[in-house]
Amino acid sequence: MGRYRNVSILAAAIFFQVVGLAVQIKRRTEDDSSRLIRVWTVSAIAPFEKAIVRLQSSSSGIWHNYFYLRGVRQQNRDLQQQIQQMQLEQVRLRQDAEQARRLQTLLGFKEQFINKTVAAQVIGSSGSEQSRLVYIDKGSDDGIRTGLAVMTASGVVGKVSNVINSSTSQVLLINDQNSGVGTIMEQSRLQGVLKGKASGELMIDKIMAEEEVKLGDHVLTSGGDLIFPKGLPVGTVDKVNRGKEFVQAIVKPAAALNHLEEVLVITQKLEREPAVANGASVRAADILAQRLPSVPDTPPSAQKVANEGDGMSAAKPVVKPQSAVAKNPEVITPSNATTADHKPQSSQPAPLQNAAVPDAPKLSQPAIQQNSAATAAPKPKAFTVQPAAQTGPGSNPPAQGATHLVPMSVGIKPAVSGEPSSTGQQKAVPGTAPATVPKSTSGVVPKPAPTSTNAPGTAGGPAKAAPTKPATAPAGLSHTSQQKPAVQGVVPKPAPTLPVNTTAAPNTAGSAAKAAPVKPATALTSKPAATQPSKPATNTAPAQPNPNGEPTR
Amino acid sequence: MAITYTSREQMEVYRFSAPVAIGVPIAAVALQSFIPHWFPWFMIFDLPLLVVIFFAMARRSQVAGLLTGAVIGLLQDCLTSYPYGVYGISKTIVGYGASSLGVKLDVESVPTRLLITTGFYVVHQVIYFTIARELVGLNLHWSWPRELVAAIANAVLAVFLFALMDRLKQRA
Repeated sequence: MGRYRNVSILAAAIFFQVVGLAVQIKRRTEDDSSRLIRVWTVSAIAPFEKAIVRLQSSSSGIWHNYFYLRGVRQQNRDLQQQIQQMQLEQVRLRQDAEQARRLQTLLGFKEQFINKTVAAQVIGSSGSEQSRLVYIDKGSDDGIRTGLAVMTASGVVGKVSNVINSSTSQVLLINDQNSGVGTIMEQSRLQGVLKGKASGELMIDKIMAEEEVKLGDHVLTSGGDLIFPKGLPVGTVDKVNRGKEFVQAIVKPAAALNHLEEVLVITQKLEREPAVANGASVRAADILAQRLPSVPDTPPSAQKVANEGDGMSAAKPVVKPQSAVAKNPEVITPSNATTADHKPQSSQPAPLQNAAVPDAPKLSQPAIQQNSAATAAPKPKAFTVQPAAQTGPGSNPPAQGATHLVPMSVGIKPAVSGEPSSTGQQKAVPGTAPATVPKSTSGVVPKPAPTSTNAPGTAGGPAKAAPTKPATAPAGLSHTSQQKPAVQGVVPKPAPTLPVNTTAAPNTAGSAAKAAPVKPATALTSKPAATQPSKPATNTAPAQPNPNGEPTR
Repeated sequence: MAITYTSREQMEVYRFSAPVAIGVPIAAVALQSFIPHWFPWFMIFDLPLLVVIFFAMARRSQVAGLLTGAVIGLLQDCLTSYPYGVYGISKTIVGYGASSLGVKLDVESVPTRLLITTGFYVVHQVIYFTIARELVGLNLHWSWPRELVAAIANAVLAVFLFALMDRLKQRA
């Protein structure tokens, strides 16, 4: 018996391992939990790997960050240029995204958003060509759980297959044979399950032979596996193997699966209906909210007084009470243009903004910078006039690219300044309507009294009603310092975009201000809307309530 | 010197200190996990297998060899997503075979080490693929050219590695 001792031991060792293997395979479908020996082993090895990775990264960081800086300036210039190009591209994409969200809202779609990610560093791999997985230096302490999606900026990497301990997790790569990702091809819209092959390639098989698979077609996650959010890049179709019944597509992964260093673990996804609507107006409101202050609410009584003052109920819509401003902070009036406190944007922008918003993102980069500069500098702010055309039949819808120049409302009543300006005796400049903005030269616009616009003559000024002509450009909309006439009787309401570097006060008004014929404002920038003749219609046009119930002009 | 038969009395039997016996296999498994992350081509090597062969041949004990192979193989299994035992069984058999061969052959010479390592690598891969396919149900891709190249590469690496590890040996 002693003669066969060694062989017996060998047989016993193999037997036990085979039995253990069989047991594991049987249990594998029932319970895929992490086994203790695996945890121990990885926990014993991971610290060494982490130490080596940190040593390597720190030494590499010192070298690359402090010594090897050759070509960094050129690279910086290139990146700056790339950023500018991407910003322009982003503007265009934002438009498309808004449109898509609107459509999704209409269709009742729900979107998945990547809400929270955890960045992790890859510290090791399986060391085997047959088992394609990596280990990352984040574990249960960082919120990592089994089944979470892992990706890089380039594309999908895999999913967390095992949380080893508090600071180490195992990630099964998408090119492992045990992996599967629900995918969809971008152009052909073919769906399938992406699997790993033994050779490490990615494939989508079981595609019907009659389907057309295009080489180079981008493969995205379909979201059907409930692990990866929809739309993440997976790779591109690199090769197509056609069989009699099925087609197999070989996919080149978007992420460098063999050279992973840092990855992102998607720890939280959100599913919600796309928030749209007013997307554009919200953006315009964002711009306004960032650049202009607002005013506190005006008591309703003030508005009431204002409306009763002139007895012209039909003309009410012409006036924008301050309360409306408060509810629609993106609507800038002379008063809120000077108020220091900043109000959050309204969730329900006025229709005007809705109409004008689509152009807002089309601000060129210099324009945005100018706006920022204007914000930074405490320059007097001019304001624009809300196009009455938006509410009346004689409206001139803002043309493409006409965000800045919105036709002024006409049919203007005699303007009466609500409050005497500090200068008081300023006369209206010809072509400049005596308006509700009493102070012009300084650009500081006092808060107009609610009664100013609807109660002619009540402000003590012998203001006369003057025939008005359609203005083609609102005051304060230009980028020059040229003074712009404001429209009498109309509380200027700004277009969604801001005037930049405008020093012209909208109007001079005061007790002695006389109403002057309103001349068409000169369109300083050749925007399409500025050249369209606007029709005097607002006085007779019925007021359209905005979402807040406030009448809008 | 070529492969020769050697009597048991003539053979040197070596042992290893506890730190070496424990640390070297763990280091081999760790390096096998770590290095391919930075150098994917390194995956063609199988450091734990080389360590199993070396320990088994140096100890010249079949039991010690198969146990060494079983432990290192199971450690390697821990790093994969597959069930334990795929590498374990393969390296158990290799450890037993290497120690059996080490009893009868002079395994100190470079040609011997080249041949033995080449042969055991192929044996290891055959056993591994058999187990993975037949028992675990994996669909692995077998390529003779690739396996032969890998076997030769491992043999070349083994020559240098064994020469390095010879310094850790202690006469029993």
